[in-house]
Amino acid sequence: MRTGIQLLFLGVFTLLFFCNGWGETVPVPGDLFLRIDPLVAVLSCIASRHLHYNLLLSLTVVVSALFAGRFFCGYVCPLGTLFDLAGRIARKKKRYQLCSVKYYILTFLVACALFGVNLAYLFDPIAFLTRAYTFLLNPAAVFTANLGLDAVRPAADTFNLVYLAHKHFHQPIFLKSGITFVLFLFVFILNFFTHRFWCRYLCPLGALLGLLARFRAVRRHVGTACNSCMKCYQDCPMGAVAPQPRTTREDECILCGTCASICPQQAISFPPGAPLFVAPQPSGAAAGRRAVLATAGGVLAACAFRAMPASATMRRRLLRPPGSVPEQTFLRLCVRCGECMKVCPTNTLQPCLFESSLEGIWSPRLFARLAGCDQTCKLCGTVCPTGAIRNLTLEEKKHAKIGTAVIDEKRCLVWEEDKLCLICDEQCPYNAIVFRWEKGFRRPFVVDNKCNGCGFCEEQCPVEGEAAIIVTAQDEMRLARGSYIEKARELQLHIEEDPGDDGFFFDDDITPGTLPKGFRK
Amino acid sequence: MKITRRDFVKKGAAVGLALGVPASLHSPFQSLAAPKPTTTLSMVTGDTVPATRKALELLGGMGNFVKRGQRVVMKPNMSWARTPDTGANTHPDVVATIARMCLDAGAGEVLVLDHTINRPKKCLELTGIEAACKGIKNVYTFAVNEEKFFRAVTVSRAKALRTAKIIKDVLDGDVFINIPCAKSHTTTGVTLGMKNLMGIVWDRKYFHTSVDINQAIADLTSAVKIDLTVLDASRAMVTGGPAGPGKVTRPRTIVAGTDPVAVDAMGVSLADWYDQRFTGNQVEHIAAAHSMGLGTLNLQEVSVLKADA
Repeated sequence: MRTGIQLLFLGVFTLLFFCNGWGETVPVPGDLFLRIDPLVAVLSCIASRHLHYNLLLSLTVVVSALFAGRFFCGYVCPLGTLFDLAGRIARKKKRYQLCSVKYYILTFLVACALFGVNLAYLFDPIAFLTRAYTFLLNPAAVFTANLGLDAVRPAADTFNLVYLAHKHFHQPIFLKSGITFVLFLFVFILNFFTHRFWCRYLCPLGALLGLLARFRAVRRHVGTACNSCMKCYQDCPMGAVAPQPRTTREDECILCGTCASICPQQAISFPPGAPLFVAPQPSGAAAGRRAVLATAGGVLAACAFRAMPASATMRRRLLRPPGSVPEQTFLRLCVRCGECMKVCPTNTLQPCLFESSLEGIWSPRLFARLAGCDQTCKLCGTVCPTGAIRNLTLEEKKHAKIGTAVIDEKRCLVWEEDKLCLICDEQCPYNAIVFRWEKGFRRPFVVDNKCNGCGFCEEQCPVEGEAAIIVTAQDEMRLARGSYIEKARELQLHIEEDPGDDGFFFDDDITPGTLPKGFRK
Repeated sequence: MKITRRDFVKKGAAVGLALGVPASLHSPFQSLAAPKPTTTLSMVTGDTVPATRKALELLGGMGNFVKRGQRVVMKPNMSWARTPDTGANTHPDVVATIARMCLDAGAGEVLVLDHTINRPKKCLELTGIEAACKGIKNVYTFAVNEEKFFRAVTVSRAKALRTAKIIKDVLDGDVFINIPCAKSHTTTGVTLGMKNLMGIVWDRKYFHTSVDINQAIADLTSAVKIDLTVLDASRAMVTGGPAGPGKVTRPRTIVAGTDPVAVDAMGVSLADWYDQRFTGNQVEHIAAAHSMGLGTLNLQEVSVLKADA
């Protein structure tokens, strides 16, 4: 029964993940789990000093915790379900005195958030798993699906199934996904020390729900038949049974019912009761000291993160998705779930490592050399669960200037070698590249106020290695609120589809009597 | 019999008239005025759908090109994520009409494909071609944007493009119909039928960076068997091509024929490109194809069946 519910939620989580952005127009709450995640909501709100409506959605989980404690951990959390599945392979029952670590982690995170650094993404299980899905599962799934399609292709050809014979999924790739892989593997390997190691000792979401669980209504009840055989103590996957088997550590219990099912006396039940405050475990001076240490650690970490800004060069090349709120708020809101990168149809959105300082690890950036930003798409803003990337209309998004292209004259085929190359001009949707007569030759220039930084010029530049035209963050437009179109008007930007300046070729001042390219006398 | 000088002149003139003069004087005039046509084009002006139908009927109907059970591969221009009014792609009605005619002629199935430049999904959607073909049974519309669907061929007659990776379906299909639209082009002047073939090639960049693109287009034309070219000049993007937006005029004309060079030469004459008038001979890639003997750009040598629809 419980496994069924768990698999259902894992299935929903996985399905929503894969459906997210699939139809482009079909609204799928692909980030449902992130939106109801109270840790994400609370830390985002504290760090950004802004009440986000996700806080309201997360109340569902908060209420469930008040009623049934860490029910979420035992039945809903997809990472917990994966751990349980892994536990079927290696069920270790060892105990470590580390239960309080997760509270220190929570303290640390809250302290960081108070100082404006949102580190929810480091430890939140939903963000963690979503990221692993984005960087690992999705590419692997696409790869496997394509292998399968290749395998059935001859049969599809034979039976004249034309669409099947030509089906292929675009293969996403993510740079530095190896780091995510190692972390993911590490968290799973922890299960070999004890079952649900992460949930017991590290998970800050579990800690938050555990705090609320002290008020829970549904509690474990041990009847008089108990003969203290200690079987429940040994088998509890969460170590929630105290050494005195009649008492329960309410902040650890996930209502899985393992104890009830294995009790030889059938003495254990989970009756709903009146909400009752359960006093926390008596905490010694050592615990208080550690809490202070965790807070101090959080403050220090926050300061350290803030004190290590990205270098100016990195900052210049750091392109955020169009519609990203101002950088500081962006970093506070972004939970590094990777949803934007997952849905990006051109794969230009890639995770940062240190490109945007330590604080910006795993946040999305445009990698224009890999691909440009599709001008018919606005999915990243649609799927962002915290509003770090604003949900804009296509027209607004077009004006949300990502940056400005700059030509590297030392590398450009036209500037350096007098070649007749005009690929950047051909690629530009807004005709921000113009040719002017310079040093005896027609040479490309970027018209700054026509460029919205989409990056197709950089992607397609035929120069080997780094492109001769690169998009920089110069003049990027980052608005927390308000219209990008109006701002663009104010700044006198003209980001509009443009018939082009083909007239250049006939400009008598420049090249008298020259025919358009491709024609002859 | 004494032959007077007068007689000699008279007789000589008569003999000359009978033997030499007709051959030497009459014949050149004939070749200038009405040479023997080497190929036939149909050119129909009018509303898109009837004009398309009429253009093919003038060529003897689709039955001349498609036999029962054959697989027809059609290559419209649907490379750009733009709507029909921009003139950046072949009009969906032209594509759907030709597909229907192929099926009526007994085609087993019709594949409508292109190696799109913009994102495939958006190209299929915005061009309207997917929607126009959707309801028609045995017509399949899709983009071919993966290398594995291409096969390398050697271009034996090539001067620039020695080998090219071409969509397998185009190489293996029974009938190949090229359905370009009429656009200006920043690099090749115009893009009509032969330039449209770049959409069946995997590595387009190679054309732009490594070879003479005009010669390479002609080489590419020699590499595939083009059974029919139907040029959709219902609209012509006369500036700003190939991507647009640009100035769009409405020649409201469909040109069809088996000679890819002649269709393009005719296409050049249908609009003022960049506000100038050109002939096929002035377009480098058309001239290159002509000199390779892939067809003729001399419209005097072409029998043009004109009609209104």
